[in-house]
Amino acid sequence: MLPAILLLVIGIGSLVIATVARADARGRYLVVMRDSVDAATVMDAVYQHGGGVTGFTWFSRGLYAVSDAPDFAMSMRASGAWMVWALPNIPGCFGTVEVRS
Amino acid sequence: MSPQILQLREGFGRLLCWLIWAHVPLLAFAGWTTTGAALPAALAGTLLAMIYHASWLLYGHAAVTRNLSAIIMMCLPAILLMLFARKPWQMDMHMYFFAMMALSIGWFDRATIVLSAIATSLHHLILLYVLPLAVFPGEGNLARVLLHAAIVAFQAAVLIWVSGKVLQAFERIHRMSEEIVATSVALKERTLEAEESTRVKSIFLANVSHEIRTPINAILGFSHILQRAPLTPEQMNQVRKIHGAGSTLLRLINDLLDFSKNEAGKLILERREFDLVEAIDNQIALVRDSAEERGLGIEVNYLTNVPDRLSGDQMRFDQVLLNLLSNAVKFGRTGTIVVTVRCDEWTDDTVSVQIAVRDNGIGMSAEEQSRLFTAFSQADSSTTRQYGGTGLGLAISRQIVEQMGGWIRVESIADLGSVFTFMIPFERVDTGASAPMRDKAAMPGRPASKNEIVHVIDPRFRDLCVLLVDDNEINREIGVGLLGNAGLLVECAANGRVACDMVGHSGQRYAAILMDVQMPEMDGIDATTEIRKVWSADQLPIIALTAHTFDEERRRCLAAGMNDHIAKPIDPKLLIARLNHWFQRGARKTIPQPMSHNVVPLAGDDAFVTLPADLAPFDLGLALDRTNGNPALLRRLIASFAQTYASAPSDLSRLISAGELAEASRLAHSLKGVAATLTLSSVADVAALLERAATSDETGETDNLIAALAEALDPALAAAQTLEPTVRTINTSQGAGGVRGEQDAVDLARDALVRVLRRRSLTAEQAFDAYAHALGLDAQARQDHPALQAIASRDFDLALEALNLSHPGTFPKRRDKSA
Repeated sequence: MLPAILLLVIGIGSLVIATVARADARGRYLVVMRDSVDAATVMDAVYQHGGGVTGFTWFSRGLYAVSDAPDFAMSMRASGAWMVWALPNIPGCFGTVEVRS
Repeated sequence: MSPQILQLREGFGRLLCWLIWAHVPLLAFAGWTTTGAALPAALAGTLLAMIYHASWLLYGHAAVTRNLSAIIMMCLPAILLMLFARKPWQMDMHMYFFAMMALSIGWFDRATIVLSAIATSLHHLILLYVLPLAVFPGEGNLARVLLHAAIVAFQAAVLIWVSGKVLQAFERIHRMSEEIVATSVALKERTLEAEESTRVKSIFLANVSHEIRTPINAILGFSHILQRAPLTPEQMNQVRKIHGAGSTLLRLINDLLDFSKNEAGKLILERREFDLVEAIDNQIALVRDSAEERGLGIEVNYLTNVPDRLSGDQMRFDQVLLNLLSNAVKFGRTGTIVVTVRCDEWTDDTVSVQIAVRDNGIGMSAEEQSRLFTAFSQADSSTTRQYGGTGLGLAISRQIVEQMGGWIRVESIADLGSVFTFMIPFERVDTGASAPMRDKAAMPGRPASKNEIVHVIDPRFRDLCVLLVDDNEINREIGVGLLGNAGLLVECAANGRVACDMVGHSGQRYAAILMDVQMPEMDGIDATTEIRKVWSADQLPIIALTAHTFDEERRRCLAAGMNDHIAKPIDPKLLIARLNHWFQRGARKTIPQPMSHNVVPLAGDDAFVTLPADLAPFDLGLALDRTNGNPALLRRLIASFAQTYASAPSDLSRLISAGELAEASRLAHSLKGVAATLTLSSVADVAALLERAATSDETGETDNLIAALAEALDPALAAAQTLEPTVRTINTSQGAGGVRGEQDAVDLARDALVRVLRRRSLTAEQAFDAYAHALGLDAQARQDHPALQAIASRDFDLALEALNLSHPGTFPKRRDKSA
């Protein structure tokens, strides 16, 4: 049984990584701010670079943003964001429709 | 686990190898068409296929392989699901999970199915709920994931249920298979036991019947002899009743033996050519006397043409017909018994022979007819009391007829008579254009004539020469007496080798050969095989004479090429009947017999004249019966026995001590046979034990047995010695007969000497003394005799030659080549 369980864990882990690492971003971003930058500054920066804030993460200093600008991530990092991650689309079981902002 | 399940797992595991490897190109194609990632998809599929293949090669269909396959089979749709994400076919890829789960039933393993279900559910939970929820709050749809998990669980439950049922079914089949095998083995063992039991029963019955026949023969023999004695009418009546009761008892024993053998499936049919008309006539001849005594006639009507020759079991056909004829004679009251023969349903190869026997007897009611062919059943119990019989005859007839593929039935009207009809299909024998079928017109109402009674030698065959082959001196003596009295001439051989030599030298002289089976040097089977290389069964009939009544023995004889088989003790009537039969079939009817001996007629009513009234321990009455009432022959046999076997105990002791057990066994066997014939049962019994001990190399008790043999033999030798002087006295007091008596004494002494020389016995010198004494040789002549000199140098063959050369005129008066 142990080899099967091991294979199961490795398999699901691999699928998770593959899913998360897929480079098929559709203009949605997870933005994590530095400690020295407050939320208002970051929100301003999002708006200044042609984006919009869609929500905040369950942890502080994080927010979800959308933008069609191709250099959005680079601009945000220049404005003081610690990490800007273009999010993959995780459609669930039934996500047959392309999500576009 | 049943072998069938293991076999299924083996096949399924092998199938999965192919199936998983087949996913590698499928994944590559899917990756290329969806995301362009053909290589990673192919590598993932290859990795999974290699993992399974390695496990399959290492562990076969063991649990580790089955469990790994469950995960791998879920990984394949998971990869496809990921490749088709956000594509219209993503939803269809979910169906692949269910297909793979369903496929896992091929292992017939509950754990594998459960593992598949867990893997599927976990995949959905993590990738399709936890991960989206972790990335986008509120995006995971737990309810739908749970719904999917519930469907997976339901499918798993169904698969487990089906798998369990299949396993139960296979287990049940396996148990049933094992039970069938066990039952089959038990059945086979019981069949073997039953066959063995039947065989033992058959042998037991044969032995018992043989043992019972011996005293019955004594009863019949004595009563026959007594009927020739001067008796009062009342005594004569009583003796006749004794004879009748004995005959009935003998018939009963024979019927019981027959019925028992048939019931045990031991009825083995033979296929030999025979003449139907002759067979019918022979059976009628057997009952004609009885019929005439009851004032009945017998008539035969042939309603159709009859084939010249048929092929089938004539002996069984005869048995059925004789039974019906005997019944017709027994129950017939007036008029004529009519035998009707018709042959129907002719084909190129077969013909149905239908025979009806009609009598005007007591008849039967319908109810009586219905139970007529049942064993131990006659029309009613009073029939048995009034007419006798065992009630087995018709049951045996039915067994025989049905086994031969025919039928038997009865039509009867009470007080008017009965018609018994039976039909048996026979094969036709192609006799060529020169021998067409017999025309019924040539056989109108043909009655059997008196001169066809088979126990009387046909005058046409008188003075034909028969070669009697038997290693036992006494049996040869008896055979010579019986055949001589029947009007035949006899030559003897002591074993098969001598018989072959005699036939090879002058086979055309013999009309038939009577062949013992168990003989030293060359037995009857080998001798027959040898003779048959030159002489066909039609040219020279060979009739086996054996001590056994077993069918196996009979078949062995016939297979070797013998024409017929007669069991010992020999029934003279049967022997002559069979010889008549074979002479009649052959063309050897007028053969000159220059070497034959003269036939000496029996003494008739003077049977006891040359014998004392009592000669204990010999039972003279019984012994006389066995020598066909020939007292001279019996006297000669007793004297011969005394001379031959006087030294038997010491000879046996010497042979056993010297380790010559085969020779000892032969001597004991010979002594046993002769002693039994001369009614010395105690001698025969001890000799039998000695024979067995020598044959089985168990010589521990032989000293005691030899002592017992000497003790049993002494009274017989003493009795024989009291007989010898009487021989001389009688012979010498009868003038011309005295010459005959002296010649007899010389013959006796010479025969005894020849026998001990052939046995290479150390008593040869003593036997020579007796021979010299009988010849009247003086001391010098004895010393100069070449035979004695050869004996002194232990050259027994030379002694035999010398004996033959020196006295050729006195060589046994019948031509007896015993070595």
